[in-house]
Amino acid sequence: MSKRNLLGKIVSIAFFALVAGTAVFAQGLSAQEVMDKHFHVAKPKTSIMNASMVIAKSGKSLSRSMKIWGMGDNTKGEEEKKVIKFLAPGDIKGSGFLTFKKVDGSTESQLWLPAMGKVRRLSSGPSDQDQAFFGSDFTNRDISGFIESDFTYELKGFGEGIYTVEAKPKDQMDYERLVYYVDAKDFLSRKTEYYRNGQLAKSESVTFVAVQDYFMPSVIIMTSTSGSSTEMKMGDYKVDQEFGGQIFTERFLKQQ
Amino acid sequence: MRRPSLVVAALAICAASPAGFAQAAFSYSLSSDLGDYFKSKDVVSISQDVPLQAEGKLDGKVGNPDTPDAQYSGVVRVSYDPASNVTALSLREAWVKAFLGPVDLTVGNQIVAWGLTDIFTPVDTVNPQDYNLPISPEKIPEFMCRVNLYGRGFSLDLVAVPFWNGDILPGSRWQGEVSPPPGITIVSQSIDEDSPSATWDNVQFGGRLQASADWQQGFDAGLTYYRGINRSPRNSFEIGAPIMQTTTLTPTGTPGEFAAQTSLEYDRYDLLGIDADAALNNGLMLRTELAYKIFNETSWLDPESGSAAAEWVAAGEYTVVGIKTIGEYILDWTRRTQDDHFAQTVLLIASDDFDSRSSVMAEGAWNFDGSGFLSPQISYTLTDGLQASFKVYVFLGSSSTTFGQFAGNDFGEVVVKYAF
Repeated sequence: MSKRNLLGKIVSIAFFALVAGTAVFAQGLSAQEVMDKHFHVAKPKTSIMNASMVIAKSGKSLSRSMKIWGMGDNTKGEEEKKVIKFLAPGDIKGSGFLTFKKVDGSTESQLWLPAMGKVRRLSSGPSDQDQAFFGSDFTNRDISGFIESDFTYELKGFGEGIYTVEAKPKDQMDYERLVYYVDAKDFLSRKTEYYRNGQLAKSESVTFVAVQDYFMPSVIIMTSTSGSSTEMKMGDYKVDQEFGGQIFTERFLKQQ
Repeated sequence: MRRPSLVVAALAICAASPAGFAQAAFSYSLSSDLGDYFKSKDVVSISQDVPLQAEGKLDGKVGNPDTPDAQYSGVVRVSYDPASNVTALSLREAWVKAFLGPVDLTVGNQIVAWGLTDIFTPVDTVNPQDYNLPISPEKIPEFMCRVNLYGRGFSLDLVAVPFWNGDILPGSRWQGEVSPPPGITIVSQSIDEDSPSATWDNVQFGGRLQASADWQQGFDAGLTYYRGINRSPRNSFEIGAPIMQTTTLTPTGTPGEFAAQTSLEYDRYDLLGIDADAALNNGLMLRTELAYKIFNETSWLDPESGSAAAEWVAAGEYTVVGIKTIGEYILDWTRRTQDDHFAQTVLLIASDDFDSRSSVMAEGAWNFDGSGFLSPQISYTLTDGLQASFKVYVFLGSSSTTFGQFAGNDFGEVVVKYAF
């Protein structure tokens, strides 16, 4: 093969790769569309799971175990509801957290601490939502979850089948921006970075497990740049079970 | 506690039933509370000389654990005082609850928490209190029947308390001193206590209606009525007021010498309260409570002298430079013999979690009479369920003021609690 032919082949291959790459990048795959697909990943109508949380820092750790009930899908115009009840350790056993992520993106949360004997409403702003969730690296806002309309999106890149999408909050929150790494195959985000004051504050990695027809998180690790990390393991999933509205109530929250 | 046997029997039946036994859970806690009054040389425990306290709890559900038919709970407290080598056993919360459609029926020793504000909660009137540490009282569980009705956007909480139990009053070091008028010497003193007996007339009852609305980021409002009997003797204890029981002086025959007979009377009262909270769009949380109390069936609109009181609390909660901050304004009004009396207090609480293990909190109050207190606190979680905290109280102001009268009682305490 002459040098001229070889050069021609290289140019052709490079050109093809460039065109193909651009085609994939452009198919679709605007930031908004990527995140639209991400948030439209099928969710069960209801879910119940057991979870354990290990909060680690400087070689020492604290653990919590809990049960979580979830219901609703924002992409179907529904309020997303969660109840979390702590089962152990003894000093927080019986505590509960009830949160509603409303269709308009606002959050309504209530906290039940048995020692106080009453349900306490939390504010929807950064004042309460950006507080640590029971001492973990998650905030109350992280636990309530995000919906598509919380952010504006910008595509930052595509490589190795992963879309990199920057999400900037529309309303005031402690995070300046999030960066989602969305898998082009299933549109799940297995890694998310949280930035605060121009710097990476923490990063989250998620492992999924198939439960019936759904991909549900099995392990979430939130690692803060301050040196602490929280690993949440979830299992014993029950999905699409019928439970009435009585689960997501103050009455249920207070049941010990 | 007058009827523990009924509650214990009901608890035993629930726990012994096949479904109840299967879902029974035991939990325990151990705590030690050692404190020191800085301005005296005695190192004493703050909580009634009880350096060691253990609680055992049995609770469980009958039926589906998520939507049970019934639930039960019982807590036993054992306190040991090494100074006197006395061990005391008490039944704390012990109740059985039946879930009947939209209604919860609970019978037994219970603690009720009404209202929406923190620290100062004027509508929270049902339980007697343990004032051993008057600046931070602890509720005493009370035997009662309670019905909670839950509807769409509202709840109704009705209570009936058949047996009266009094507050545990603070120790003498926390009570103001009363000096007899000049020229009078008290040579003997007797106390005549007129505690309310267990009769139909003395059944205390009340209710609270709370409604929630989807206004701003959530809004709650409550309306409370309670007909009760004071848990403390008339004027016997009120932060800012010395003991002033009804005292009769009888001459002994020697000029200037009298025998004093103090009568401890417990006034009936009717309380009407309203409270509300709102989570605003800007993240500010507002809470308020107002309670109006009339004594001995005087007129609501034109109460007799000395027969009415009111307390209003307005609070805001916000995070300022990362520190969770609660500010409260408290206005107290009493109709006294001579004129209306007003007292105003502001309270500030700031708290922050350093990390998953350690948190700090500072609490301070200032009364407009020129007195106040400061209370910094630090807590540290040593391991799962084991927490240690250190807290200090410092009182400011002259001896005739609300908080200044306690200036001799500045203290610090270390509390270690293990729950498992």
